[in-house]
Amino acid sequence: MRATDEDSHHADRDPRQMKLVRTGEKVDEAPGVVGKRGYLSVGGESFPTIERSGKYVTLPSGTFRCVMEANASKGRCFRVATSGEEGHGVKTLSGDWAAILIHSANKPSDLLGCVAPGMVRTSGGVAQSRKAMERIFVLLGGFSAGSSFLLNVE
Amino acid sequence: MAVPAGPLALAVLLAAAPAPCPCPAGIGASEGDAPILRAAAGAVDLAVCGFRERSLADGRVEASELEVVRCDSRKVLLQLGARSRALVGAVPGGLAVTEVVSLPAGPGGSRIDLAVRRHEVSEEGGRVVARSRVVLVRPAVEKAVLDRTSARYRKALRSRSAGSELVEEMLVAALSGSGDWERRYRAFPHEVAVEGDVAETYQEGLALLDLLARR
Repeated sequence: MRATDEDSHHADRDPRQMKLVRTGEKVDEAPGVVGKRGYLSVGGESFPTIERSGKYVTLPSGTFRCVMEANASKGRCFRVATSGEEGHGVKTLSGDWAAILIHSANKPSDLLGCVAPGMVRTSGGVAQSRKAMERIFVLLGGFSAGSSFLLNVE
Repeated sequence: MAVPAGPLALAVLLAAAPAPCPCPAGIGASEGDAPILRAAAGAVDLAVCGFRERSLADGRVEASELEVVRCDSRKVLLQLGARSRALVGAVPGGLAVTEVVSLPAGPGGSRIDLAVRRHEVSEEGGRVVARSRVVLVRPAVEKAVLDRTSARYRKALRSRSAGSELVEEMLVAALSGSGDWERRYRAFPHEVAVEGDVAETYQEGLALLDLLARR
Protein backbone atom coordinates (compact mmCIF):
# COMPACT_ATOMS: atom_id res chain seq x y z
CA MET A 1 0.00 0.00 0.00
CA ARG A 2 1.66 3.17 -1.21
CA ALA A 3 0.39 5.46 1.56
CA THR A 4 1.70 3.09 4.24
CA ASP A 5 5.09 2.83 2.51
CA GLU A 6 5.39 6.58 2.39
CA ASP A 7 4.38 6.92 6.02
CA SER A 8 6.96 4.31 6.93
CA HIS A 9 9.63 6.04 4.87
CA HIS A 10 8.92 9.33 6.58
CA ALA A 11 9.04 7.64 9.98
CA ASP A 12 12.56 6.33 9.12
CA ARG A 13 13.74 9.89 8.61
CA ASP A 14 12.02 11.35 11.66
CA PRO A 15 14.97 12.46 13.80
CA ARG A 16 13.09 11.54 16.98
CA GLN A 17 12.01 8.07 15.90
CA MET A 18 13.61 4.69 15.25
CA LYS A 19 12.15 1.67 13.52
CA LEU A 20 13.04 -1.98 14.13
CA VAL A 21 12.13 -4.46 11.43
CA ARG A 22 12.67 -8.21 11.82
CA THR A 23 13.63 -9.82 8.53
CA GLY A 24 12.80 -13.39 9.51
CA GLU A 25 16.38 -14.57 8.90
CA LYS A 26 17.88 -16.88 11.50
CA VAL A 27 21.44 -17.13 12.78
CA ASP A 28 22.58 -20.52 14.08
CA GLU A 29 25.43 -19.68 16.43
CA ALA A 30 25.68 -23.02 18.21
CA PRO A 31 23.41 -25.93 19.06
CA GLY A 32 20.46 -24.38 20.88
CA VAL A 33 21.70 -20.82 20.36
CA VAL A 34 19.72 -19.20 17.57
CA GLY A 35 19.42 -15.55 16.69
CA LYS A 36 17.07 -13.52 14.57
CA ARG A 37 18.13 -10.75 12.24
CA GLY A 38 16.59 -7.41 11.57
CA TYR A 39 17.50 -3.82 10.99
CA LEU A 40 17.11 -0.58 12.87
CA SER A 41 16.35 2.56 10.87
CA VAL A 42 17.26 5.93 12.31
CA GLY A 43 17.42 9.27 10.52
CA GLY A 44 17.56 7.70 7.08
CA GLU A 45 20.33 5.23 7.98
CA SER A 46 19.92 1.52 8.56
CA PHE A 47 21.80 -0.75 10.98
CA PRO A 48 21.65 -4.58 10.99
CA THR A 49 20.43 -6.00 14.28
CA ILE A 50 20.63 -9.28 16.13
CA GLU A 51 18.35 -10.68 18.84
CA ARG A 52 18.07 -14.04 20.58
CA SER A 53 15.41 -16.43 19.38
CA GLY A 54 13.66 -18.95 21.57
CA LYS A 55 11.95 -18.88 24.93
CA TYR A 56 13.16 -15.42 25.87
CA VAL A 57 11.36 -12.14 26.30
CA THR A 58 11.26 -10.07 23.13
CA LEU A 59 9.89 -6.74 22.00
CA PRO A 60 6.45 -7.15 20.45
CA SER A 61 5.19 -5.10 17.52
CA GLY A 62 4.16 -1.59 18.45
CA THR A 63 5.50 1.85 19.23
CA PHE A 64 7.48 2.24 22.43
CA ARG A 65 9.40 4.97 24.18
CA CYS A 66 13.16 4.44 24.50
CA VAL A 67 15.31 6.36 26.94
CA MET A 68 19.06 6.94 26.56
CA GLU A 69 20.93 5.51 29.51
CA ALA A 70 24.56 5.37 30.65
CA ASN A 71 24.56 1.84 32.02
CA ALA A 72 27.49 0.68 34.16
CA SER A 73 27.45 -2.77 32.60
CA LYS A 74 26.06 -2.21 29.11
CA GLY A 75 27.58 1.20 28.38
CA ARG A 76 25.56 3.81 26.54
CA CYS A 77 22.30 2.21 25.55
CA PHE A 78 18.54 2.64 25.27
CA ARG A 79 16.09 1.29 27.82
CA VAL A 80 12.68 0.53 26.36
CA ALA A 81 9.82 1.79 28.54
CA THR A 82 7.94 -1.04 30.19
CA SER A 83 4.50 0.24 31.14
CA GLY A 84 1.98 2.86 30.15
CA GLU A 85 0.76 3.84 26.72
CA GLU A 86 4.27 3.76 25.26
CA GLY A 87 5.58 0.77 27.23
CA HIS A 88 6.32 -2.63 25.69
CA GLY A 89 4.09 -4.37 28.23
CA VAL A 90 6.21 -7.55 28.27
CA LYS A 91 6.28 -9.30 31.63
CA THR A 92 8.55 -11.92 33.13
CA LEU A 93 7.25 -15.24 34.39
CA SER A 94 6.90 -13.71 37.85
CA GLY A 95 4.75 -10.88 36.49
CA ASP A 96 7.37 -8.12 36.59
CA TRP A 97 7.98 -5.82 33.68
CA ALA A 98 10.82 -7.25 31.59
CA ALA A 99 13.91 -5.06 31.24
CA ILE A 100 14.66 -4.79 27.54
CA LEU A 101 17.53 -2.67 26.25
CA ILE A 102 19.09 -1.77 22.93
CA HIS A 103 22.81 -2.15 23.54
CA SER A 104 26.02 -3.19 21.86
CA ALA A 105 26.67 -6.91 21.36
CA ASN A 106 27.84 -9.15 18.55
CA LYS A 107 26.09 -12.50 18.66
CA PRO A 108 22.91 -14.23 19.83
CA SER A 109 24.56 -15.75 22.91
CA ASP A 110 25.30 -12.22 24.17
CA LEU A 111 21.56 -11.54 24.28
CA LEU A 112 18.59 -12.84 26.26
CA GLY A 113 15.89 -10.40 25.22
CA CYS A 114 17.71 -7.21 24.27
CA VAL A 115 18.47 -5.91 20.78
CA ALA A 116 21.97 -5.21 19.42
CA PRO A 117 22.66 -3.10 16.33
CA GLY A 118 25.86 -3.17 14.30
CA MET A 119 27.40 -1.39 11.34
CA VAL A 120 27.73 -4.62 9.35
CA ARG A 121 26.31 -8.14 9.34
CA THR A 122 28.57 -11.06 10.10
CA SER A 123 27.89 -14.77 9.71
CA GLY A 124 27.23 -14.96 13.46
CA GLY A 125 25.44 -11.66 14.06
CA VAL A 126 26.74 -8.10 13.77
CA ALA A 127 30.08 -6.30 14.02
CA GLN A 128 31.09 -2.76 14.95
CA SER A 129 28.24 -2.58 17.42
CA ARG A 130 29.80 0.11 19.63
CA LYS A 131 30.35 2.24 16.55
CA ALA A 132 26.74 1.67 15.50
CA MET A 133 25.40 2.74 18.91
CA GLU A 134 27.45 5.95 18.79
CA ARG A 135 26.26 6.65 15.23
CA ILE A 136 22.65 6.16 16.32
CA PHE A 137 23.15 8.63 19.16
CA VAL A 138 24.59 11.16 16.70
CA LEU A 139 21.62 10.69 14.37
CA LEU A 140 19.32 11.39 17.32
CA GLY A 141 21.13 14.61 18.16
CA GLY A 142 23.81 13.27 20.51
CA PHE A 143 23.84 11.15 23.63
CA SER A 144 22.09 12.65 26.61
CA ALA A 145 21.05 10.36 29.45
CA GLY A 146 17.30 10.60 29.97
CA SER A 147 16.48 11.79 26.45
CA SER A 148 13.68 9.73 24.99
CA PHE A 149 12.64 8.68 21.51
CA LEU A 150 10.00 6.53 19.94
CA LEU A 151 10.79 3.08 18.63
CA ASN A 152 8.44 1.50 16.14
CA VAL A 153 8.75 -2.28 16.05
CA GLU A 154 7.31 -4.10 13.04
CA MET B 1 74.29 20.82 -4.68
CA ALA B 2 72.65 22.13 -1.55
CA VAL B 3 69.59 20.21 -0.36
CA PRO B 4 66.76 22.46 0.83
CA ALA B 5 66.23 22.17 4.56
CA GLY B 6 62.44 21.79 4.31
CA PRO B 7 62.26 18.59 2.21
CA LEU B 8 65.21 17.06 4.07
CA ALA B 9 63.53 17.64 7.41
CA LEU B 10 60.35 16.10 6.04
CA ALA B 11 62.25 13.04 4.80
CA VAL B 12 63.86 12.55 8.20
CA LEU B 13 60.48 12.83 9.90
CA LEU B 14 58.89 10.32 7.51
CA ALA B 15 61.73 7.85 8.06
CA ALA B 16 61.24 8.07 11.83
CA ALA B 17 57.44 7.72 11.78
CA PRO B 18 55.97 4.21 11.96
CA ALA B 19 54.64 2.91 8.66
CA PRO B 20 50.90 3.35 8.28
CA CYS B 21 48.89 0.40 9.55
CA PRO B 22 45.24 0.81 8.61
CA CYS B 23 42.82 -1.53 10.34
CA PRO B 24 41.20 -4.39 8.45
CA ALA B 25 37.42 -4.69 8.60
CA GLY B 26 36.86 -6.49 11.88
CA ILE B 27 34.70 -6.92 14.92
CA GLY B 28 35.00 -3.30 16.00
CA ALA B 29 36.66 -1.37 13.18
CA SER B 30 35.95 -0.68 9.54
CA GLU B 31 38.46 -1.22 6.74
CA GLY B 32 40.96 1.62 6.77
CA ASP B 33 40.15 2.92 10.27
CA ALA B 34 43.14 4.26 12.15
CA PRO B 35 44.31 2.01 15.00
CA ILE B 36 43.41 3.20 18.47
CA LEU B 37 46.89 2.18 19.63
CA ARG B 38 50.16 1.04 18.07
CA ALA B 39 52.81 -1.13 19.69
CA ALA B 40 55.59 -3.51 18.71
CA ALA B 41 56.31 -7.09 19.69
CA GLY B 42 59.99 -7.43 18.89
CA ALA B 43 60.31 -6.42 15.25
CA VAL B 44 56.61 -6.89 14.51
CA ASP B 45 54.36 -3.84 14.45
CA LEU B 46 50.97 -4.31 16.10
CA ALA B 47 47.76 -2.34 15.79
CA VAL B 48 44.83 -2.28 18.17
CA CYS B 49 41.64 -1.81 16.17
CA GLY B 50 38.24 -1.28 17.70
CA PHE B 51 36.23 1.17 19.72
CA ARG B 52 38.06 3.64 21.94
CA GLU B 53 35.99 4.39 25.03
CA ARG B 54 38.55 6.90 26.35
CA SER B 55 42.23 7.66 26.59
CA LEU B 56 43.86 7.31 29.99
CA ALA B 57 46.47 9.64 31.43
CA ASP B 58 49.08 6.85 31.53
CA GLY B 59 48.98 6.40 27.75
CA ARG B 60 46.70 3.37 27.79
CA VAL B 61 43.27 3.38 26.19
CA GLU B 62 40.02 1.96 27.49
CA ALA B 63 38.50 0.08 24.59
CA SER B 64 35.89 -2.44 23.64
CA GLU B 65 35.03 -4.61 20.64
CA LEU B 66 38.69 -4.75 19.70
CA GLU B 67 41.24 -6.79 17.82
CA VAL B 68 45.02 -6.88 18.05
CA VAL B 69 46.33 -7.18 14.51
CA ARG B 70 49.79 -7.74 13.00
CA CYS B 71 50.53 -4.84 10.66
CA ASP B 72 52.52 -7.00 8.21
CA SER B 73 50.07 -9.84 7.61
CA ARG B 74 46.91 -8.30 9.12
CA LYS B 75 46.52 -11.51 11.10
CA VAL B 76 44.23 -11.12 14.12
CA LEU B 77 46.08 -12.18 17.27
CA LEU B 78 43.39 -11.39 19.84
CA GLN B 79 39.72 -10.48 19.66
CA LEU B 80 37.34 -9.18 22.33
CA GLY B 81 33.67 -8.55 21.60
CA ALA B 82 31.34 -5.66 22.29
CA ARG B 83 30.39 -7.11 25.67
CA SER B 84 34.01 -6.86 26.81
CA ARG B 85 35.82 -3.78 28.02
CA ALA B 86 39.59 -3.60 28.36
CA LEU B 87 42.50 -1.39 29.28
CA VAL B 88 45.09 -1.60 26.52
CA GLY B 89 48.66 -0.38 26.64
CA ALA B 90 52.13 -0.97 25.28
CA VAL B 91 54.47 -2.83 27.65
CA PRO B 92 58.14 -3.69 27.22
CA GLY B 93 58.28 -6.26 24.43
CA GLY B 94 54.67 -6.05 23.39
CA LEU B 95 51.15 -5.18 24.34
CA ALA B 96 48.95 -5.86 27.37
CA VAL B 97 45.16 -6.04 27.24
CA THR B 98 43.41 -6.26 30.60
CA GLU B 99 39.72 -7.11 30.52
CA VAL B 100 37.75 -5.39 33.26
CA VAL B 101 34.19 -5.53 34.57
CA SER B 102 32.37 -2.85 36.52
CA LEU B 103 30.84 -4.26 39.70
CA PRO B 104 29.66 -2.88 43.07
CA ALA B 105 32.76 -4.31 44.77
CA GLY B 106 34.24 -1.12 46.17
CA PRO B 107 33.95 0.46 49.61
CA GLY B 108 30.34 0.55 50.75
CA GLY B 109 29.27 -1.31 47.64
CA SER B 110 30.50 1.43 45.32
CA ARG B 111 31.18 0.51 41.73
CA ILE B 112 34.76 -0.26 40.69
CA ASP B 113 36.49 -1.97 37.79
CA LEU B 114 37.76 -5.47 38.57
CA ALA B 115 40.47 -6.88 36.33
CA VAL B 116 39.37 -10.27 35.00
CA ARG B 117 41.87 -11.47 32.40
CA ARG B 118 45.20 -10.19 31.16
CA HIS B 119 46.27 -10.92 27.61
CA GLU B 120 49.86 -10.26 26.61
CA VAL B 121 50.99 -10.13 23.00
CA SER B 122 54.73 -10.56 22.62
CA GLU B 123 57.44 -12.18 20.54
CA GLU B 124 58.60 -15.61 21.66
CA GLY B 125 61.22 -17.51 19.71
CA GLY B 126 60.62 -15.52 16.58
CA ARG B 127 56.85 -15.88 16.73
CA VAL B 128 54.30 -13.34 17.94
CA VAL B 129 51.90 -14.97 20.36
CA ALA B 130 49.01 -13.90 22.60
CA ARG B 131 48.91 -15.48 26.04
CA SER B 132 46.00 -15.07 28.44
CA ARG B 133 45.65 -15.61 32.14
CA VAL B 134 42.94 -15.05 34.70
CA VAL B 135 43.85 -12.21 37.06
CA LEU B 136 40.54 -11.87 38.87
CA VAL B 137 41.14 -11.41 42.58
CA ARG B 138 38.32 -12.18 44.98
CA PRO B 139 37.02 -8.85 46.30
CA ALA B 140 36.69 -8.31 50.04
CA VAL B 141 33.14 -7.37 50.94
CA GLU B 142 32.20 -5.50 54.10
CA LYS B 143 29.68 -7.10 56.46
CA ALA B 144 27.33 -4.13 56.15
CA VAL B 145 27.29 -4.57 52.38
CA LEU B 146 26.63 -8.30 52.71
CA ASP B 147 23.81 -7.59 55.19
CA ARG B 148 22.24 -5.19 52.71
CA THR B 149 22.56 -7.75 49.92
CA SER B 150 20.98 -10.39 52.19
CA ALA B 151 17.99 -8.16 52.87
CA ARG B 152 17.50 -7.46 49.17
CA TYR B 153 17.92 -11.14 48.34
CA ARG B 154 15.24 -12.18 50.85
CA LYS B 155 12.90 -9.52 49.47
CA ALA B 156 13.52 -10.80 45.94
CA LEU B 157 12.69 -14.35 47.02
CA ARG B 158 9.40 -13.13 48.49
CA SER B 159 8.45 -11.08 45.43
CA ARG B 160 10.08 -13.55 43.01
CA SER B 161 11.52 -10.59 41.12
CA ALA B 162 14.92 -8.93 40.91
CA GLY B 163 16.80 -6.29 38.97
CA SER B 164 20.33 -6.21 37.61
CA GLU B 165 21.57 -4.34 40.70
CA LEU B 166 20.74 -7.23 43.03
CA VAL B 167 22.19 -9.76 40.61
CA GLU B 168 25.47 -7.81 40.60
CA GLU B 169 25.48 -7.48 44.40
CA MET B 170 24.94 -11.22 44.74
CA LEU B 171 27.73 -11.84 42.24
CA VAL B 172 30.15 -9.72 44.28
CA ALA B 173 29.19 -11.66 47.42
CA ALA B 174 29.79 -14.94 45.56
CA LEU B 175 33.07 -13.74 44.06
CA SER B 176 34.26 -12.80 47.57
CA GLY B 177 34.57 -16.50 48.27
CA SER B 178 31.37 -17.23 50.15
CA GLY B 179 30.19 -20.71 49.25
CA ASP B 180 26.70 -19.86 50.48
CA TRP B 181 26.47 -16.88 48.16
CA GLU B 182 27.84 -18.85 45.24
CA ARG B 183 25.15 -21.50 45.77
CA ARG B 184 22.47 -18.79 46.04
CA TYR B 185 23.74 -17.14 42.87
CA ARG B 186 23.79 -20.36 40.88
CA ALA B 187 20.29 -21.30 42.08
CA PHE B 188 18.83 -17.82 41.60
CA PRO B 189 17.15 -18.34 38.19
CA HIS B 190 15.28 -21.34 39.64
CA GLU B 191 13.81 -19.13 42.37
CA VAL B 192 13.31 -15.76 40.70
CA ALA B 193 12.39 -14.88 37.13
CA VAL B 194 15.47 -13.32 35.53
CA GLU B 195 14.85 -12.29 31.96
CA GLY B 196 15.98 -9.73 29.41
CA ASP B 197 18.71 -7.38 30.63
CA VAL B 198 18.67 -9.00 34.09
CA ALA B 199 19.26 -12.44 32.56
CA GLU B 200 22.14 -11.11 30.48
CA THR B 201 23.72 -9.59 33.59
CA TYR B 202 23.22 -12.90 35.42
CA GLN B 203 24.76 -14.90 32.58
CA GLU B 204 27.86 -12.69 32.46
CA GLY B 205 28.25 -13.06 36.23
CA LEU B 206 27.95 -16.82 35.98
CA ALA B 207 30.76 -16.81 33.44
CA LEU B 208 32.96 -15.00 35.97
CA LEU B 209 32.21 -17.57 38.67
CA ASP B 210 32.94 -20.40 36.24
CA LEU B 211 36.20 -18.69 35.33
CA LEU B 212 37.27 -18.67 38.98
CA ALA B 213 36.11 -22.25 39.47
CA ARG B 214 38.22 -23.45 36.53
CA ARG B 215 41.35 -21.63 37.67
